[in-house]
Amino acid sequence: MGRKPKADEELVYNKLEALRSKVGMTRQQLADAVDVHYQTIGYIERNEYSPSLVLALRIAKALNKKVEQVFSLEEN
Amino acid sequence: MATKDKKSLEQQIRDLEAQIEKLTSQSEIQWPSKDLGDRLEAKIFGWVRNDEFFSGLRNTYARVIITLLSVAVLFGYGYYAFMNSELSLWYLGFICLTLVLHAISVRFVFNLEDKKSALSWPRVRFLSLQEEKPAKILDEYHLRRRDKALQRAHESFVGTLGVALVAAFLYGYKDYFFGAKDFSITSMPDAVYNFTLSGGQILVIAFFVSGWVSLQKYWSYGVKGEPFVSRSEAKKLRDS
Repeated sequence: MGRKPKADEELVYNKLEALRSKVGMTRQQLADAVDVHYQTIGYIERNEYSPSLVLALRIAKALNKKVEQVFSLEEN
Repeated sequence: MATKDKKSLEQQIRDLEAQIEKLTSQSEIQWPSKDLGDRLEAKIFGWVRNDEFFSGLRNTYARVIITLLSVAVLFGYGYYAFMNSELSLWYLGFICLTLVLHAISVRFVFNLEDKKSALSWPRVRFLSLQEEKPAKILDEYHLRRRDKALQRAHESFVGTLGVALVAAFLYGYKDYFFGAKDFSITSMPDAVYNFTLSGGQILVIAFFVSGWVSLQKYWSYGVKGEPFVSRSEAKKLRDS
């Protein structure tokens, strides 16, 4: 955790940082909205941590996006 | 009609179950001292978890130092205490100290029972009259990291136990393996273990084993700590 995932771990890419900036939310605001610590948002943005499905859905809801618009299996 | 009866019966069963649960919870004895102890413990854990006073123990540099210190204490001071068995209680004290340091540096993440308690910690209001905002410091990231650490600690424990058993077997039969005595599989001879240990040395071994088992999960948790940032930098990170 807090490191690059090992090869055998599923890596989930995301556009969290860009989308969050677009809606003008700080890490703290997003963290408060999804009930996690702001550092966890940072870990997710840097692809150091793949969130649970529940957290991914919560993040997408907080950003008013569909989950696949925020997270994906391919880097794009 | 039969469906309606079935639904009504199911509802009755549910009501009965609810009543049983209510009665059971009412019949449980509430020990005031236990409740007070739990609340006090929760208060202390909540304070240590959240207070910035302990931030210096939570970053990566501190985690590295605490980990090295715990290894040095367990093995280095352990050997010294084994040779000077009057130091056995000091050995126990140092092991406890490193355990406390580790626990503080990971915000007592191993003391959380489940996710629910992690997300709503601390619930208890004891000395403070003000409503505390539930801390979200220990979230699913920490819980997943904790679970992985426990898994690695278990693997490490099982692996080391296996090596220790093989080593004990080889030691017991060393005279047969190294040719001093005749060995045959068909007539398995008795193993020979001959130790002369003082009471203090036995204590040191017991403390070593319990310390080693207790420290496994902290070593497995890894040395990566929280970012080493000043208050202003932390604010900047939060607001970025």
